[in-house]
This record gives sequence, structure tokens and C-alpha cells, in this order.
Amino acid sequence: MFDRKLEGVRLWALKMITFVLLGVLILYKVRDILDIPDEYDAGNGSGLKAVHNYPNSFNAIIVGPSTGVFNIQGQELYEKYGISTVSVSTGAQPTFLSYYILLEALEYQNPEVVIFDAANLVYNENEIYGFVKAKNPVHYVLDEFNSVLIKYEALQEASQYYENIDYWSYFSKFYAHHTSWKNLTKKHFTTTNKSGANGNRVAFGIMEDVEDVYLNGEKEEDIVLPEHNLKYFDKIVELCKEKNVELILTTSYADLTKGEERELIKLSEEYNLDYLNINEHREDIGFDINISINDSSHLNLYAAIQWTDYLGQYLVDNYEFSEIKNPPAASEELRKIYEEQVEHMNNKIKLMSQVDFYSYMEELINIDRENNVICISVYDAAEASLSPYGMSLINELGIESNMMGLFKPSFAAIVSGDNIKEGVSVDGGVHIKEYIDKVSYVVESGNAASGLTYGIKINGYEYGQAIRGINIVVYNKFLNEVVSVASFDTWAIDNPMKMRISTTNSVHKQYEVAPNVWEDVE
Amino acid sequence: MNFISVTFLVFLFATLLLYFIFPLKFRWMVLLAASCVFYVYAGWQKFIFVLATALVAYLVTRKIEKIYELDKNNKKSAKKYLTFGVVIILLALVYSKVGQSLVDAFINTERESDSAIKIIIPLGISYYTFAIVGYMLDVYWKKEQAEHNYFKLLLYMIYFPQVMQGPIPRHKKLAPQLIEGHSFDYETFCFGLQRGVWGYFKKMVIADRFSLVVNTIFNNPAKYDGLYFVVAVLASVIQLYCDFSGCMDMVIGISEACGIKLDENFNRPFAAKSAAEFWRRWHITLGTWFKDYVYMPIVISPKVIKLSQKAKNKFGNRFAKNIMSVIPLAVVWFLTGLWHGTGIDYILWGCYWGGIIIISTVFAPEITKLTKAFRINTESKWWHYFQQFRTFLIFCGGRLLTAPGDIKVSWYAFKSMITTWNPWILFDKSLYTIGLDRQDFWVGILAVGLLWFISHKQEQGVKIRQTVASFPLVIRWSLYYVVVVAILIFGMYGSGHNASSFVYMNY
Repeated sequence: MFDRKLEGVRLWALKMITFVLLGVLILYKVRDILDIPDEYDAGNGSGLKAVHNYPNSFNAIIVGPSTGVFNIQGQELYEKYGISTVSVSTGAQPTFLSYYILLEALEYQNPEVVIFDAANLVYNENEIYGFVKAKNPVHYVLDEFNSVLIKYEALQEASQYYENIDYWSYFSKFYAHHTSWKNLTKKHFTTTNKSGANGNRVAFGIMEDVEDVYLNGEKEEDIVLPEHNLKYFDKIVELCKEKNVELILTTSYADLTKGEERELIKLSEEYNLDYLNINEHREDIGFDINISINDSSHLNLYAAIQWTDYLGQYLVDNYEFSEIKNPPAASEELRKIYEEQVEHMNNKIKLMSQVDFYSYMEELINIDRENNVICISVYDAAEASLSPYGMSLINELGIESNMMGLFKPSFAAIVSGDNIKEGVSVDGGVHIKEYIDKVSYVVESGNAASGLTYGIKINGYEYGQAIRGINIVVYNKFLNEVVSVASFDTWAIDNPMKMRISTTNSVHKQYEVAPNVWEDVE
Repeated sequence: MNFISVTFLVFLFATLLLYFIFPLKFRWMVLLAASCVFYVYAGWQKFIFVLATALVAYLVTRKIEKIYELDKNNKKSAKKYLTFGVVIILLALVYSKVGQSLVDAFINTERESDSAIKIIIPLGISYYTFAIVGYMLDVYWKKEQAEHNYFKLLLYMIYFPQVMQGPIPRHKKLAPQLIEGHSFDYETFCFGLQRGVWGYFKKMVIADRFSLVVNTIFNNPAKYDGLYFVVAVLASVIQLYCDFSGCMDMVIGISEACGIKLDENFNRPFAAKSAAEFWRRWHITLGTWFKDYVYMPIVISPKVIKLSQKAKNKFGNRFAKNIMSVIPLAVVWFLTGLWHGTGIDYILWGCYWGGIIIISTVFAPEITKLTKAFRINTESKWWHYFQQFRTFLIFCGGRLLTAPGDIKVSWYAFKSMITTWNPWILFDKSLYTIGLDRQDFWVGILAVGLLWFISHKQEQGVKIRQTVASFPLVIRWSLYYVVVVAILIFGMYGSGHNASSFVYMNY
């Protein structure tokens, strides 16, 4: 009797345990689907993932706010200087979180150098309160932590700024990401958890009319670095000493004023640390503010490479690095992605650097047409001063139509690799539509006879400038953004040979890479 | 401690574990300890309040018992103590209902400032007050014995699953179950958890989703018009039903897991064919409480009987019968309104329901004649559907009075509904801009469809849990996992969402 009862108990106990275990397994799998898939170039903790997955694989660790994500490129440091680097920097990372993420990282890595992007030392209390309240800056740092205790300690510290911290969202990814079912894509189901890359992201934007805060800002302002930041900076210094790691301070643009720079220099002197500030070395690296800035705080890839090269040279000249076999940066996949990113950035710079129609077209005919879609539209009139050479450059794109000899023709074309759609008409307007790789292109052209219709719309957004003459928009499929918007008044009689670029560039959608990550911080 | 919190789930798991680990005779102590922890978590001042209330009820009922021991017919003395105890306890309830308004009106000059006085409102006071007053009346009426153990009485009052929102218990039914201790029964335990999980589904997936629509529209009424308000009222009906009945499923399910059977509070109310029937299916324990402790005492009170006799002599039999119905119904519905809230909206709401039920009672013969005159087959399926729809509309009317939270907004919404014609909002994606996006909206609709399907099956007599239990293990478990995962994915909780409290917690 007792045995039978015991058997019954065993059976339901076994059933319940199996049910719970199976449930946990299912939830674990579902959590993996709902979790935001890793991006190779996302600064949302992917660097820390690499820290965990590749123990003792890095010569250098970059820590700090987003400038440490964009402005120093780990892949460049490895390929040119052999320094295997990972960035555990994250968007709006306050100093105290820099300490905790470094504490976590140094549990797994034994680097020679820690590069601390000191831009966050100037964050004031209100800013940090805002970041903690906004949650994402804290999530980026803590989500990939393995150590529950360090994470808890960091959250306790964060609660000094904002007490209503939703602790569960930091300890359960399911809890934190359950609403992402709305944004499920094929990627969520097919991407396995990537091991993390180097924690870097690249920016391709070229900001116009940049205000040079460093050169033009107030020079004698009275700056006091917040005490809480200094307390944690001191802890970072102590931690590096304890782990026998060299600590270097850097700042790379980041709206830094001269007053703030002065305080950082004082601090580095007080602790006897190297401090490399991009503003001090603008000439050395060939820094041109007009083509280097993605937004107010971040360098685009073009300038990031310049700064990284300077930093890399400094590091190899002043520090000893051991050789690391097969670090993540040596993977073919990462190399290829980086190469493509650099190529596209350079193309963009080249296109926007041209000052007349001929040189622009000469660059354009050499552009990679597999990855770039070229849209051309004539507004009003374009043919009066268009030379046969100018027309031949247009034809070299593969376009067969010819405007020569026609009076005020409408002309439009979409060029994507070998696929060319075009039209020319003297009597009426030309309207061309194309849908390539989930992006829609609508190009319209019309002379006076057709009512001056005009447009270069990409995904419904009007990029054309409606300048009399030839208007060109180049959309880069790899970057998912417009890389060039140019207009040439090829009808102007007074300027027949050197036709100006009226509008050189658009910075629209400059954060197209991993927008779901970045826009949240914004 | 909000039921929709990880803290509560941990607390619940620990309580269940301890309950079944302890020997049978000590299990009520586990429940008492858990209930005390649950209550103290809401604030120790509140706990002191409830301890004092239980003490008053304990002393009064013991005294009444002693009076009856000395002279079982000495109702006069017993009544004095009963009146004293009931008045004290009801005063506490009145204080909790109107105290803050009085303090705001006479003491707090700046309501929003930190120095403003906030009165202490004990957790679940509307529910435990009725539970304890019912118990005192039963002792007075000799329907049951007084409890001799203060802590057991306290457990009856603050039993943690039901203290916040009921169901309003009866001492005679609940107390013995709480005290006796129950052995672990696998099937009962699983059934209990299943019901609890279904409650979480209703609350987290449906109620909290539609509450976003209700809040979006009624918090900014000036931005909306016409059909938007119809949508908001419908959403508020879904929200209220799923919120309250969901909570009841959790409460009853948790108790069932411990082997304790609580009274049902819902019986598919939207299948009701009349307003009176609706209230026999919605918040059943409140309705039966009013029936037993207010309606019946009035009906059998000598004064009403005398009045009825007089009316019979003067105006005839039917008028006298109506007097016997109308007076208690009017009192009950006025008090029901007050129980829900002291604002003008709730008083009007009580009058609204009372008025409808009184009219349908008084004019029942005429209504029957009318249906016969129009040759309506009152037994037909379509007539039943019409009656159900009519009852649903009546309920919607009631929601329009209270859901906006301000009678002026209710009036504005009502006027807009009948004067503005904007049906295009149903087709031009406007519905996705009032708190729910497209995905959330359709998840909500699908979930309501599932709820309707299950209710329909239950109305047909299908016992859902038993049916599911008869499925092969793989299908059964798959079903459980789907529901749990659906709650965890589609539930409205976590970062970016303010977990809303249960609607009936505010009453």
C-alpha cells in the first residue's frame, strides 16, 4: 500500500520536474529568438561578448562612451599594427559603468593596454541621471555581464542616480525583450548567437556646416569634473594597477572644449598617465573637420581610420605587445566587412570632393555599380552647355539616350549594375520606377512643355534638389543610404566648361547601420 | 504585492512549498504567516488597521456569543454590541472612501505638494469589511458560532489571495477550509495552477492591452469624437471583464492549488438575458452579500411589511408587491453604487442599474404582454441573442458612466457618440493610433476571440480543464506551453510598460 503510494508520488514528481525542465528549455529557445540579434559592428555589448568568448585574446581594451565605439577602429589596429583590440565602450557610458565593465572584462582578459576614452569624465550628474533613466545606456553595459554580483553592484550604483530601476529587466533577457515579437524577422530565427566582434561600429555620415567647438568655444571657462566620475576614475586606475595593465587616456573630438581638455590634461598629469587628444594632433593626422564628422560627437570611418592610425603608431612606439594567435579580428568575415566599409567610405569621400561635372562623372563611372544605384534626372533644361564629352561620360554609365541636338528634353535614368532604365523625351515628361533589393526608386523629369515635373524619390523620400540642369543621386545598397546628391547647371551659358556642384551631399539616415540599437540612445 | 510581479510569483511559490511541507494541522499557520507578510508588504500601518478591525469583530462576536450563552433570547443586548461593532467597522470603510476627499478639501491646500496629507487606506478594505460584517451578522442571527481563535479570524479576513479583490467570502464556508489543512492532490494542484495561468492570460494579454485604448481616449477626450468613444467603451468592457474575472481566476486557482475552494464570482455574465440575471452572473459574491444582508432584511422588516399591507389595502395587490420589490432594490443599488465609489459617477451608476432592474421588475407583466402582442417567440434562439445583446448594451451604458472617471467626460462622450458620424476610423488605420499598434490590436482581438470561444464552450456545458486533461500528454503539455509562452511574450509587462493595478482593487 505504502509502496504504491510512493510510486504515485514519484510519478507526479517526475512529471512536474520534466514539465518544468522542458518549459525552461522552450523559454530559453524563445528568449534567444526574441533577443536582438548581434550585429558585428554594434556597440551594444558585442565587445563584451567577445571578451567572454575569446579569453586572453586581446592586447588592448577600449572602454568609455560611444566615441570609443566609433572613433578608434579595432580592425584597423590589428591589420596595420598587429594589436588585437576589443572595445567594451557603449553609447553614453558613464564613468562608473566604465569601471564595472572593465572589472568584468579584466576577469577574462589580460591585455597590455586599456585605452580609456575620457569623454565621459565630463558628464555631469543631470546627464548621467538622464542616461540611467533612459535605460538603454545601462542595458548596453550590463546585458552581457556574466558576473551577477558585479552587475548587481553596478545597478546599485546606478540607482543613486535614478531609483526606479527595473532590476528584472537587467537579469532576465526574456523579461527585457519579450516585446520584440513585433519586430521579428527571418534573421531572428536563422541567426545563431554570434560570438561578438570587436565592439566597434562605423559611421559613414559627413556632416555639413560643423561648428568647431574646440577652436571657437569659450577658452577660459571654469570646469570642474564631477566628483563621482573622479571617484570611479580613481577606481579604474587602481584596477589597472592591480591587474598590471597600462592605462591610456584618449579623447577624440566629442565636442570637447579647451576648458575640459585642460582639466583632463591636469588629471592625466596627476596620475602620470599618457593622454592622447585628437585636437592636439589635427595637423599630424590630416584631420579636416569638413569631411570627418558624422555627427557632433562621432567621427566617420574616414577620420576614425586617421585617428586610429595615429594611435596605433603611438602604441607600437611606446608599448610592448605580445603576439596573439588567431584573435577574432583575424577572421576572414570581419576583414571582408571592414574592407568593404572602408571602400564605400572612400568612394563617398571621393564623390563629394569633386568640384565640377567632369571630375564628378569621372569618379562616378568608376564607382562599384553592383552596390550603388545611380539616379539621374534633368530639371527644366540641361543640354545648352552640355559638351559631347559630358554626354559621353553619362553614356559611359551604360545609358544609351542622348540629349545632344534635342531642345530642352526631359531625361531620366536609373542605373543599377547592368540593369538600366532610362527615357528621353522632347514632348513630355519621363517617369521611371524601379524596385531593387527592397528599396523603391522613382525618377521623374520634365521640361517646360510637360509642366516642369521633377523628382528623385528613394523609398518615398525626395532627395533631388530641383536645380536646373542635371541632378544625380547615388544610393549605396551596402550602407543603405544615399551617399551623394549632386546637381549641375549644364544649361548655364556663362559657365560652359566648369559646371558647379550645387549641393554636394546629404547626411540623411546617417545611422542606417543598426538603427534599432542606436536610435534608442538618441 | 502586485499579482503581476516576479516578487509575487516567488512569494507564491515559497508559500505553496511551505504549505505542503508543514504538517496538516499547522498549514493554516503557513497561510496566516503568508497573508501577514503579504499585507505588511503593502504597509505596516495598514496592517495595524486590519488587526484592529479583526479585534473589534472578534471581541464583539465573542460578547454576543456569551450573551446568548446566558440567555439565548437576549437579542436586544446582542444587538447593542453588534451595532457598535458594525458601526465601528463601517465607519472605517466610510473613512477610506471619503477620508481623502475631506482631507483634501479642508486640510491639504496644495494636493500635489509633498507635505499633503495622505490617509491610510487598508488593503482590500471594501472586501474584508463585507466579509467580517457578514460574519458578525451571522453570529448575531445564530447562523454560526463565533470564532474562538483571534488568529483564525484574522486569517479569514486577510487570506492573501482574496484580500485585495474578493470574492467576498462567507465565514461558514471558508474558515473551516482554511483551518483544516489539505493534503497535496496532484490533479487539484494542476487544475488550480491552470486556472491561475488562465487568469494571468486574461489580465496580462487582454485587459492590460485594451486598457491602453481606454486610457488614451478617456485621458484626452477632447482629441476624439464619435466612434472613438464607442471603441473606448467596448475596450473598457473587455478590459474590466478580463481584469476582474482574470483576477478571480488567479485567486480561485491559487486557492484550489492549496485545496481550498472559493466561491465563484463570475458565471459568463455576457450570456445573461436581462440586467437582473447579469448581476447574478457578475460579481456574484457582492450580489449575494447584498441579497442576504441588505435585501432580505429589508423585505422581512416589519416596517416594510406594514407599509406593503397599507399599500395593498389602498392600491391593490400588484402595487403592494411592487413596494416590496422596489424599496429593497433601490436601497441595494444605491449602496452598490456607493460601495464602488463615492463620486457622482458611481452614485449615478448605481441608480442606472437600480432603475433598469426596478423598471423591468415592475413592468414585467406589460413586457410579457407586448412580446405576445408582437408574436415574439421568447423561446427562440434569436430572441435569446437579442436579449443578450440588449443586456450587453445596458452594461456598456454603465461603463460609459464610470470608465471615463469624470461624469462630464461621460456626458461629452455620449453627446459625441450620437452627434458625430465617423465610421471611416474603422477602416483607415485610425484604430492603430489609439494606444495599440497594428500587431497589438490584432493580438488583443485574437485573444478576445479565444476567450469568447472558451466561454461559449463552457456555456454549452463543456468542462474545459477536464477536457484538456483527457488529451494525450503531448497535446496537453503543448497547450500549456503555448499559453504560458503566449502570456510571457504577449503579456503587457516589463520595461516600458507601467504594470496597471487591478481595476477592482480601487473599490
